[in-house]
Amino acid sequence: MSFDNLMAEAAEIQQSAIHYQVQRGVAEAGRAAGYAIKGLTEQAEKDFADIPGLFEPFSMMPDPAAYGPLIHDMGTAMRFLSTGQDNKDPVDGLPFPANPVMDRLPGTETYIENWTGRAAEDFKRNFIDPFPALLSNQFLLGSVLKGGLAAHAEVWRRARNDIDKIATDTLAALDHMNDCGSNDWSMFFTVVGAVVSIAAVPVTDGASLYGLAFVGAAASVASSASGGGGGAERRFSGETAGAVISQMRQAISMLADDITGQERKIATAMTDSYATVRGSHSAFVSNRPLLAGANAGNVTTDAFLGYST
Amino acid sequence: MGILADRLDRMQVRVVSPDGHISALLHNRSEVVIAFQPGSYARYSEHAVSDQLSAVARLLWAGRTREYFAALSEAFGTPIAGESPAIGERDRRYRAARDELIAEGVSSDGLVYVGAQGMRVFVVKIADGTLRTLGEGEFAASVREASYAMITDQFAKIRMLKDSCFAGEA
Repeated sequence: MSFDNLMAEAAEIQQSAIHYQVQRGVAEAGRAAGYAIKGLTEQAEKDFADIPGLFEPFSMMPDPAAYGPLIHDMGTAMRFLSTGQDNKDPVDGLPFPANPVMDRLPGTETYIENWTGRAAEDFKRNFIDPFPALLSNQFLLGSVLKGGLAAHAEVWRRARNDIDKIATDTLAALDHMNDCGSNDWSMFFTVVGAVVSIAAVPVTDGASLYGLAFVGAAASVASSASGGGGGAERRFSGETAGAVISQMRQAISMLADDITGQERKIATAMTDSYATVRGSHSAFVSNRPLLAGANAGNVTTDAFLGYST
Repeated sequence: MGILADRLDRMQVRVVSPDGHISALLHNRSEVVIAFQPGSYARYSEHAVSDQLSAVARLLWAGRTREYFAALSEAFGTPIAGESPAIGERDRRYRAARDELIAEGVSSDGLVYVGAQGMRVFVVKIADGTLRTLGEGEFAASVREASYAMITDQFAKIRMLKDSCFAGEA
């Protein structure tokens, strides 16, 4: 069985549950079975009519592979923004070599040594000096987004496995319930550990410290991560078709809650990081250039370009 | 039907009696076919064949149990070597009652009886004079009938016991 066959499995579960419930009803009806079978079948079809509908939303879950290009693009952006030695993605620990192009801006200081005026001072203070910090903070922001995308992909990858496991276990439980053993089974819900929260990484605009909230996919986070990675083992039992299907409904409901919980972890990290960016704009974006307010009449004054030799 | 039902339908368990003269096959879930080594049938007494068939029944069910757990492991995708600990009081009650459950089957000619307690203790009884009355093939057919009746009885009683012990579960 596999996720690709989920709706076929759902139909199989429905048919199997109807079969076993009717079989049991016929056995109980004894000699009256011939008269009872139509009513028993109608009742069973009604009792289990909801089964395909329970699986349908899960069959439409996003394809985790579709996140690949987005994650790749974010990695490309991070490579562009990467500076400094031993730069690493704080989520998965992957090394990012420095982009030498970005080293050129601090080097411009020598070009403006003879440039005076307020614009020159502001250019150094507002652009040259904070440039490495801004770049580093933007790199971290790229990591926040890349980690969020990877975490979301992991949620769907694990949710697909879990819903498929619910389906196959339900089929097995239906086949097992009339045998001598107690009909109980355990399921490991892997989606519970899909998203790992990572300790906030401090960023600064030079004056204050702010925290960026990270999440990552459990499969790839660095070892310093916490708050996820495992799963939850849950036990189910049922000795009739109705009881087994009832357990299946509970399992599906749990899985839906688990997915919501994992998505909430991602959403919280994104919301918190967004608030950080909004609240500390200057830590991520250079100030508005002073010259943007100049005009032809005043651009060469001391308030702007001043003069140069 | 799922993987488990398919595999149970196809399951075949073969054993040989302790004295090596009777081979037995359990298939189609509840059908038992026995065959005697050439010349051995005529040498058996009712008492001796009863002992051998009782042992055969025990071996068949032990083999069936092993195969069953292998099938369960495949169906649930995880190794299962035995029953997990009981969940709650009614599960414990069920298991205790199951171990005492008596299942019985008699052949249509009334000459062969197969009984089991908790599918652990097996008793096969052969009416006096049966081996001189029935040919080898007829006797094997009677054993098949009695075994089938006993296994059917076992599962019918298991169903009733489960209905009783787990009534009202959701």
